[in-house]
Amino acid sequence: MIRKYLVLIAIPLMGFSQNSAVGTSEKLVYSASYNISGLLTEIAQVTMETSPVKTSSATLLRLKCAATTYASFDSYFKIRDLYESYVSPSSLKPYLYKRDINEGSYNKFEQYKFSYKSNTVSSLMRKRRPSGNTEEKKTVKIDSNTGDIVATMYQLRNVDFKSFTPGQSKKFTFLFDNKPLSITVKYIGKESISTKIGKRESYKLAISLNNSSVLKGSADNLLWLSADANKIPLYARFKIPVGNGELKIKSATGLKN
Amino acid sequence: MKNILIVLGYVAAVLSLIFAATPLFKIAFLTGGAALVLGIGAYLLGKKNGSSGGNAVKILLILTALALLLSTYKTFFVSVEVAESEEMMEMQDQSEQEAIEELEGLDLEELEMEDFEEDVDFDELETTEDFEEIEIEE
Repeated sequence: MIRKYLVLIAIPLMGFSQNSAVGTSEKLVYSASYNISGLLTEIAQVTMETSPVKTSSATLLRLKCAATTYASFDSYFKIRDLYESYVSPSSLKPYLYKRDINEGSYNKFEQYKFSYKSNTVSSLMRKRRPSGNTEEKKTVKIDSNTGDIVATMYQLRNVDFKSFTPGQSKKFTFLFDNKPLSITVKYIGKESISTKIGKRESYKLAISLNNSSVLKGSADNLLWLSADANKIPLYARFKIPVGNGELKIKSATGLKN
Repeated sequence: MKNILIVLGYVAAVLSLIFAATPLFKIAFLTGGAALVLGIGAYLLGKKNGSSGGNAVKILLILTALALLLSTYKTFFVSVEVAESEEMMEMQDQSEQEAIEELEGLDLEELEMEDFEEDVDFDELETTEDFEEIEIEE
Protein backbone atom coordinates (compact mmCIF):
# COMPACT_ATOMS: atom_id res chain seq x y z
CA MET A 1 0.00 0.00 0.00
CA ILE A 2 2.71 2.46 1.05
CA ARG A 3 4.60 1.49 -2.13
CA LYS A 4 1.71 2.82 -4.22
CA TYR A 5 1.64 6.17 -2.43
CA LEU A 6 5.39 6.51 -2.74
CA VAL A 7 5.05 6.07 -6.48
CA LEU A 8 2.32 8.71 -6.62
CA ILE A 9 4.66 11.16 -4.91
CA ALA A 10 7.67 10.13 -6.98
CA ILE A 11 6.04 10.47 -10.40
CA PRO A 12 5.97 14.29 -10.55
CA LEU A 13 9.49 14.51 -9.11
CA MET A 14 11.13 12.23 -11.64
CA GLY A 15 10.89 14.68 -14.54
CA PHE A 16 11.57 12.27 -17.41
CA SER A 17 10.94 13.64 -20.87
CA GLN A 18 8.14 11.35 -21.93
CA ASN A 19 8.15 9.43 -25.17
CA SER A 20 4.94 10.27 -26.96
CA ALA A 21 5.96 9.51 -30.55
CA VAL A 22 7.73 6.15 -30.71
CA GLY A 23 5.64 2.99 -30.56
CA THR A 24 6.73 -0.43 -29.31
CA SER A 25 6.14 -2.32 -32.56
CA GLU A 26 6.95 0.13 -35.32
CA LYS A 27 8.48 -0.76 -38.64
CA LEU A 28 9.69 1.94 -41.00
CA VAL A 29 11.19 0.89 -44.32
CA TYR A 30 13.33 3.22 -46.45
CA SER A 31 15.12 3.06 -49.74
CA ALA A 32 18.60 4.57 -49.80
CA SER A 33 19.90 6.07 -53.02
CA TYR A 34 23.38 7.25 -53.80
CA ASN A 35 24.37 9.73 -56.45
CA ILE A 36 26.52 7.98 -59.04
CA SER A 37 27.66 10.21 -61.93
CA GLY A 38 24.81 12.61 -61.25
CA LEU A 39 22.15 9.88 -61.26
CA LEU A 40 20.46 8.68 -58.10
CA THR A 41 20.71 4.90 -57.88
CA GLU A 42 18.81 2.86 -55.29
CA ILE A 43 21.43 0.78 -53.52
CA ALA A 44 20.09 -0.36 -50.16
CA GLN A 45 17.08 -0.82 -47.95
CA VAL A 46 17.10 0.65 -44.47
CA THR A 47 14.65 -0.58 -41.84
CA MET A 48 13.99 1.01 -38.49
CA GLU A 49 12.14 -1.27 -36.09
CA THR A 50 11.13 -1.14 -32.46
CA SER A 51 10.21 -4.02 -30.17
CA PRO A 52 9.96 -4.59 -26.42
CA VAL A 53 12.73 -6.59 -24.76
CA LYS A 54 12.27 -8.16 -21.35
CA THR A 55 15.02 -8.84 -18.87
CA SER A 56 14.49 -10.40 -15.44
CA SER A 57 14.14 -6.96 -13.86
CA ALA A 58 12.86 -4.53 -16.51
CA THR A 59 11.35 -4.04 -19.92
CA LEU A 60 13.34 -2.07 -22.45
CA LEU A 61 12.65 -0.91 -25.96
CA ARG A 62 14.87 -2.27 -28.68
CA LEU A 63 15.54 0.27 -31.45
CA LYS A 64 16.93 -1.55 -34.43
CA CYS A 65 18.26 -0.03 -37.65
CA ALA A 66 19.41 -2.37 -40.37
CA ALA A 67 20.92 -1.52 -43.74
CA THR A 68 20.93 -4.16 -46.47
CA THR A 69 22.05 -3.70 -50.05
CA TYR A 70 19.59 -4.73 -52.74
CA ALA A 71 20.12 -8.20 -54.21
CA SER A 72 21.44 -6.80 -57.48
CA PHE A 73 24.27 -5.06 -55.61
CA ASP A 74 25.16 -7.95 -53.30
CA SER A 75 27.63 -9.51 -55.72
CA TYR A 76 29.42 -6.18 -56.18
CA PHE A 77 29.30 -4.64 -52.72
CA LYS A 78 27.41 -6.42 -49.94
CA ILE A 79 26.31 -4.42 -46.92
CA ARG A 80 24.74 -5.98 -43.84
CA ASP A 81 24.83 -3.34 -41.11
CA LEU A 82 22.98 -3.59 -37.84
CA TYR A 83 22.66 -0.78 -35.33
CA GLU A 84 20.78 -1.39 -32.08
CA SER A 85 19.98 0.58 -28.99
CA TYR A 86 18.24 -0.77 -25.90
CA VAL A 87 16.50 2.15 -24.29
CA SER A 88 14.06 3.11 -21.59
CA PRO A 89 10.58 2.92 -23.18
CA SER A 90 9.51 6.16 -21.53
CA SER A 91 12.55 8.42 -21.88
CA LEU A 92 14.44 6.66 -24.73
CA LYS A 93 17.58 6.88 -22.63
CA PRO A 94 20.04 4.22 -23.90
CA TYR A 95 21.46 1.49 -21.69
CA LEU A 96 23.11 -0.67 -24.32
CA TYR A 97 24.20 0.15 -27.86
CA LYS A 98 25.50 -2.27 -30.46
CA ARG A 99 26.84 -1.65 -33.92
CA ASP A 100 27.71 -4.52 -36.22
CA ILE A 101 29.16 -3.42 -39.54
CA ASN A 102 29.64 -5.88 -42.40
CA GLU A 103 30.60 -4.05 -45.57
CA GLY A 104 32.53 -6.26 -47.95
CA SER A 105 35.89 -6.94 -46.30
CA TYR A 106 35.30 -4.20 -43.70
CA ASN A 107 33.93 -5.67 -40.48
CA LYS A 108 33.55 -3.88 -37.19
CA PHE A 109 31.67 -4.48 -33.95
CA GLU A 110 31.07 -1.87 -31.32
CA GLN A 111 29.25 -2.07 -28.00
CA TYR A 112 28.55 0.60 -25.37
CA LYS A 113 27.19 -0.04 -21.91
CA PHE A 114 25.88 3.16 -20.35
CA SER A 115 26.15 3.81 -16.63
CA TYR A 116 24.33 6.94 -15.55
CA LYS A 117 25.44 6.64 -11.93
CA SER A 118 29.09 7.13 -12.86
CA ASN A 119 28.38 8.93 -16.17
CA THR A 120 30.61 6.51 -18.02
CA VAL A 121 30.36 4.18 -20.98
CA SER A 122 32.13 0.83 -21.10
CA SER A 123 33.08 0.43 -24.70
CA LEU A 124 34.13 -2.63 -26.61
CA MET A 125 35.38 -2.41 -30.18
CA ARG A 126 36.32 -5.36 -32.38
CA LYS A 127 37.71 -5.15 -35.88
CA ARG A 128 38.15 -8.04 -38.28
CA ARG A 129 40.90 -7.44 -40.79
CA PRO A 130 42.80 -9.75 -43.16
CA SER A 131 45.91 -8.71 -41.22
CA GLY A 132 44.36 -9.94 -37.95
CA ASN A 133 41.58 -9.22 -35.50
CA THR A 134 41.80 -6.47 -32.90
CA GLU A 135 39.84 -5.86 -29.72
CA GLU A 136 39.81 -2.70 -27.65
CA LYS A 137 38.09 -2.11 -24.31
CA LYS A 138 37.75 1.40 -22.96
CA THR A 139 35.85 3.43 -20.40
CA VAL A 140 34.68 6.78 -21.71
CA LYS A 141 33.43 9.65 -19.56
CA ILE A 142 30.15 11.14 -20.80
CA ASP A 143 27.63 13.81 -19.84
CA SER A 144 24.33 12.68 -18.40
CA ASN A 145 22.56 13.60 -21.63
CA THR A 146 24.94 11.80 -23.99
CA GLY A 147 23.33 8.97 -25.89
CA ASP A 148 24.06 6.89 -28.94
CA ILE A 149 23.30 7.59 -32.58
CA VAL A 150 20.23 5.33 -32.79
CA ALA A 151 18.60 6.62 -29.61
CA THR A 152 19.32 10.19 -30.77
CA MET A 153 17.48 9.57 -34.05
CA TYR A 154 14.45 8.43 -32.09
CA GLN A 155 14.75 11.16 -29.44
CA LEU A 156 14.52 13.69 -32.26
CA ARG A 157 10.95 12.51 -32.79
CA ASN A 158 9.99 13.62 -29.31
CA VAL A 159 11.03 17.22 -29.86
CA ASP A 160 8.06 19.56 -29.89
CA PHE A 161 8.70 21.23 -33.25
CA LYS A 162 5.20 22.70 -33.12
CA SER A 163 6.49 25.25 -30.65
CA PHE A 164 9.66 26.00 -32.67
CA THR A 165 10.10 29.12 -34.75
CA PRO A 166 12.00 28.86 -38.07
CA GLY A 167 15.74 29.11 -37.39
CA GLN A 168 15.46 27.73 -33.88
CA SER A 169 17.80 24.83 -33.18
CA LYS A 170 18.42 22.03 -30.72
CA LYS A 171 21.66 20.22 -29.94
CA PHE A 172 22.10 16.49 -29.30
CA THR A 173 25.24 14.73 -28.12
CA PHE A 174 26.02 11.10 -28.78
CA LEU A 175 28.98 8.77 -28.61
CA PHE A 176 30.33 7.46 -31.91
CA ASP A 177 33.59 5.55 -32.37
CA ASN A 178 34.29 6.30 -28.69
CA LYS A 179 34.12 10.05 -29.31
CA PRO A 180 31.33 12.36 -28.20
CA LEU A 181 29.85 14.11 -31.22
CA SER A 182 27.20 16.76 -31.21
CA ILE A 183 24.68 17.52 -33.91
CA THR A 184 22.65 20.66 -34.31
CA VAL A 185 19.15 20.26 -35.63
CA LYS A 186 17.75 23.48 -37.03
CA TYR A 187 14.05 23.84 -37.69
CA ILE A 188 13.54 25.40 -41.13
CA GLY A 189 9.78 25.33 -41.39
CA LYS A 190 6.77 23.32 -42.47
CA GLU A 191 6.56 21.79 -45.92
CA SER A 192 4.18 19.47 -47.71
CA ILE A 193 5.93 16.54 -49.43
CA SER A 194 4.75 13.61 -51.56
CA THR A 195 5.93 10.19 -50.41
CA LYS A 196 5.06 6.54 -51.05
CA ILE A 197 2.80 6.67 -48.00
CA GLY A 198 0.94 9.71 -49.32
CA LYS A 199 1.22 13.45 -49.29
CA ARG A 200 2.24 14.63 -45.84
CA GLU A 201 2.75 17.85 -43.97
CA SER A 202 6.26 17.77 -42.57
CA TYR A 203 8.79 19.57 -40.42
CA LYS A 204 11.85 20.43 -42.50
CA LEU A 205 15.06 20.24 -40.49
CA ALA A 206 18.69 20.98 -41.30
CA ILE A 207 21.23 18.76 -39.57
CA SER A 208 24.88 19.56 -39.09
CA LEU A 209 27.52 17.62 -37.26
CA ASN A 210 29.66 19.95 -35.19
CA ASN A 211 33.48 19.74 -35.35
CA SER A 212 33.44 17.17 -38.13
CA SER A 213 33.91 17.08 -41.86
CA VAL A 214 31.01 14.62 -42.21
CA LEU A 215 27.55 16.19 -42.70
CA LYS A 216 29.23 19.56 -43.01
CA GLY A 217 26.97 22.10 -44.66
CA SER A 218 23.77 22.83 -42.79
CA ALA A 219 21.86 23.36 -46.06
CA ASP A 220 23.00 20.05 -47.57
CA ASN A 221 21.73 17.65 -44.95
CA LEU A 222 18.02 17.89 -44.63
CA LEU A 223 15.44 15.79 -42.88
CA TRP A 224 11.66 15.89 -43.21
CA LEU A 225 9.68 14.56 -40.23
CA SER A 226 5.92 14.04 -40.48
CA ALA A 227 4.14 16.94 -38.79
CA ASP A 228 1.88 14.67 -36.75
CA ALA A 229 2.14 13.01 -33.35
CA ASN A 230 4.42 10.22 -34.69
CA LYS A 231 6.98 12.54 -36.32
CA ILE A 232 8.39 9.75 -38.48
CA PRO A 233 11.27 10.54 -40.85
CA LEU A 234 9.76 10.75 -44.34
CA TYR A 235 12.66 11.87 -46.45
CA ALA A 236 16.31 12.78 -45.95
CA ARG A 237 18.94 14.30 -48.16
CA PHE A 238 22.56 14.07 -47.16
CA LYS A 239 25.95 15.17 -48.38
CA ILE A 240 29.12 13.48 -47.21
CA PRO A 241 32.73 14.01 -48.38
CA VAL A 242 32.47 11.10 -50.86
CA GLY A 243 29.15 12.08 -52.43
CA ASN A 244 25.49 12.62 -51.73
CA GLY A 245 22.31 10.65 -51.55
CA GLU A 246 18.83 10.41 -50.18
CA LEU A 247 16.56 8.26 -48.07
CA LYS A 248 12.91 7.83 -49.02
CA ILE A 249 10.20 6.16 -46.97
CA LYS A 250 8.61 3.06 -48.52
CA SER A 251 6.27 1.94 -45.73
CA ALA A 252 5.36 2.65 -42.13
CA THR A 253 3.49 0.20 -39.88
CA GLY A 254 2.71 -0.17 -36.17
CA LEU A 255 2.85 3.54 -35.42
CA LYS A 256 1.98 4.71 -31.94
CA ASN A 257 -0.54 7.42 -32.85
CA MET B 1 37.50 12.94 -88.28
CA LYS B 2 34.68 10.54 -89.09
CA ASN B 3 36.81 7.58 -87.99
CA ILE B 4 37.62 9.28 -84.65
CA LEU B 5 33.90 9.80 -84.03
CA ILE B 6 33.19 6.16 -84.86
CA VAL B 7 35.93 4.85 -82.54
CA LEU B 8 34.79 7.09 -79.67
CA GLY B 9 31.20 6.12 -80.40
CA TYR B 10 32.04 2.41 -80.14
CA VAL B 11 33.83 2.96 -76.81
CA ALA B 12 30.76 4.77 -75.46
CA ALA B 13 28.36 2.15 -76.88
CA VAL B 14 30.28 -0.77 -75.35
CA LEU B 15 30.42 1.04 -72.01
CA SER B 16 26.64 1.59 -72.24
CA LEU B 17 26.05 -2.10 -72.81
CA ILE B 18 28.26 -3.01 -69.83
CA PHE B 19 26.52 -0.50 -67.55
CA ALA B 20 23.08 -1.57 -68.80
CA ALA B 21 23.84 -5.13 -67.70
CA THR B 22 24.90 -4.07 -64.16
CA PRO B 23 22.93 -2.52 -61.26
CA LEU B 24 24.46 0.81 -62.34
CA PHE B 25 22.31 0.72 -65.48
CA LYS B 26 21.29 4.37 -65.11
CA ILE B 27 24.82 5.41 -66.07
CA ALA B 28 24.14 3.72 -69.43
CA PHE B 29 21.90 6.71 -70.26
CA LEU B 30 24.92 9.02 -70.08
CA THR B 31 27.30 6.85 -72.11
CA GLY B 32 24.47 5.81 -74.45
CA GLY B 33 23.60 9.48 -75.04
CA ALA B 34 27.25 10.19 -75.89
CA ALA B 35 27.39 7.16 -78.25
CA LEU B 36 24.22 8.33 -79.97
CA VAL B 37 25.59 11.85 -80.51
CA LEU B 38 28.90 10.47 -81.81
CA GLY B 39 27.13 7.99 -84.09
CA ILE B 40 24.83 10.63 -85.57
CA GLY B 41 27.84 12.96 -85.95
CA ALA B 42 29.74 10.25 -87.86
CA TYR B 43 26.69 9.57 -90.07
CA LEU B 44 26.19 13.29 -90.89
CA LEU B 45 29.89 13.75 -91.56
CA GLY B 46 29.88 10.72 -93.87
CA LYS B 47 26.79 12.03 -95.67
CA LYS B 48 28.46 15.41 -96.18
CA ASN B 49 31.47 13.68 -97.73
CA GLY B 50 29.21 11.66 -100.00
CA SER B 51 29.09 8.36 -98.07
CA SER B 52 26.51 7.25 -95.47
CA GLY B 53 29.17 5.83 -93.14
CA GLY B 54 28.66 2.20 -93.99
CA ASN B 55 27.89 -0.64 -91.64
CA ALA B 56 30.17 0.66 -88.85
CA VAL B 57 27.80 3.53 -88.04
CA LYS B 58 24.72 1.28 -88.33
CA ILE B 59 26.19 -1.27 -85.88
CA LEU B 60 27.21 1.56 -83.53
CA LEU B 61 23.63 2.93 -83.50
CA ILE B 62 22.14 -0.57 -83.02
CA LEU B 63 24.44 -1.25 -80.03
CA THR B 64 23.53 2.12 -78.52
CA ALA B 65 19.81 1.52 -79.05
CA LEU B 66 20.10 -1.90 -77.38
CA ALA B 67 21.84 -0.44 -74.34
CA LEU B 68 19.30 2.39 -74.01
CA LEU B 69 16.34 0.02 -74.43
CA LEU B 70 17.70 -2.35 -71.77
CA SER B 71 18.29 0.54 -69.34
CA THR B 72 14.82 1.98 -70.00
CA TYR B 73 13.23 -1.45 -69.41
CA LYS B 74 15.15 -1.88 -66.15
CA THR B 75 14.18 1.63 -65.00
CA PHE B 76 10.45 1.02 -65.40
CA PHE B 77 9.91 -2.73 -65.02
CA VAL B 78 12.60 -4.16 -62.75
CA SER B 79 11.93 -3.56 -59.05
CA VAL B 80 14.74 -3.42 -56.55
CA GLU B 81 14.49 -6.05 -53.84
CA VAL B 82 16.42 -7.19 -50.82
CA ALA B 83 17.47 -10.84 -50.89
CA GLU B 84 15.63 -12.83 -48.23
CA SER B 85 18.54 -13.33 -45.96
CA GLU B 86 18.28 -15.94 -43.23
CA GLU B 87 21.82 -14.99 -42.32
CA MET B 88 20.67 -11.43 -41.48
CA MET B 89 17.68 -12.68 -39.45
CA GLU B 90 19.90 -15.06 -37.50
CA MET B 91 22.40 -12.26 -36.90
CA GLN B 92 19.62 -10.04 -35.52
CA ASP B 93 18.15 -12.76 -33.27
CA GLN B 94 21.56 -13.72 -31.95
CA SER B 95 22.36 -10.08 -31.29
CA GLU B 96 19.15 -9.68 -29.28
CA GLN B 97 19.92 -12.77 -27.16
CA GLU B 98 23.43 -11.50 -26.46
CA ALA B 99 22.05 -8.07 -25.64
CA ILE B 100 19.61 -9.54 -23.09
CA GLU B 101 22.54 -11.29 -21.38
CA GLU B 102 24.50 -8.01 -21.33
CA LEU B 103 21.48 -6.11 -20.00
CA GLU B 104 21.05 -8.60 -17.13
CA GLY B 105 24.46 -7.48 -15.90
CA LEU B 106 23.64 -3.75 -16.06
CA ASP B 107 22.22 -1.50 -13.41
CA LEU B 108 18.65 -0.94 -14.56
CA GLU B 109 17.36 0.44 -11.26
CA GLU B 110 15.89 3.49 -12.95
CA LEU B 111 13.99 1.30 -15.41
CA GLU B 112 12.70 -1.00 -12.68
CA MET B 113 11.10 2.10 -11.17
CA GLU B 114 9.39 2.83 -14.49
CA ASP B 115 8.10 -0.73 -14.67
CA PHE B 116 6.82 -0.36 -11.16
CA GLU B 117 5.02 2.79 -12.23
CA GLU B 118 3.25 0.88 -14.99
CA ASP B 119 2.15 -1.82 -12.57
CA VAL B 120 0.15 0.59 -10.43
CA ASP B 121 -3.59 0.34 -10.82
CA PHE B 122 -4.73 3.89 -10.23
CA ASP B 123 -8.42 2.96 -10.11
CA GLU B 124 -7.66 0.69 -7.23
CA LEU B 125 -6.15 3.62 -5.34
CA GLU B 126 -9.41 5.51 -5.49
CA THR B 127 -11.41 2.86 -3.65
CA THR B 128 -12.41 3.63 -0.10
CA GLU B 129 -11.00 0.29 1.04
CA ASP B 130 -7.49 1.50 0.30
CA PHE B 131 -8.00 4.74 2.13
CA GLU B 132 -9.30 2.93 5.15
CA GLU B 133 -5.98 1.15 5.45
CA ILE B 134 -4.12 4.37 6.14
CA GLU B 135 -3.42 5.04 9.73
CA ILE B 136 -2.27 8.48 10.73
CA GLU B 137 -0.47 8.68 13.98
CA GLU B 138 -0.46 12.05 15.68
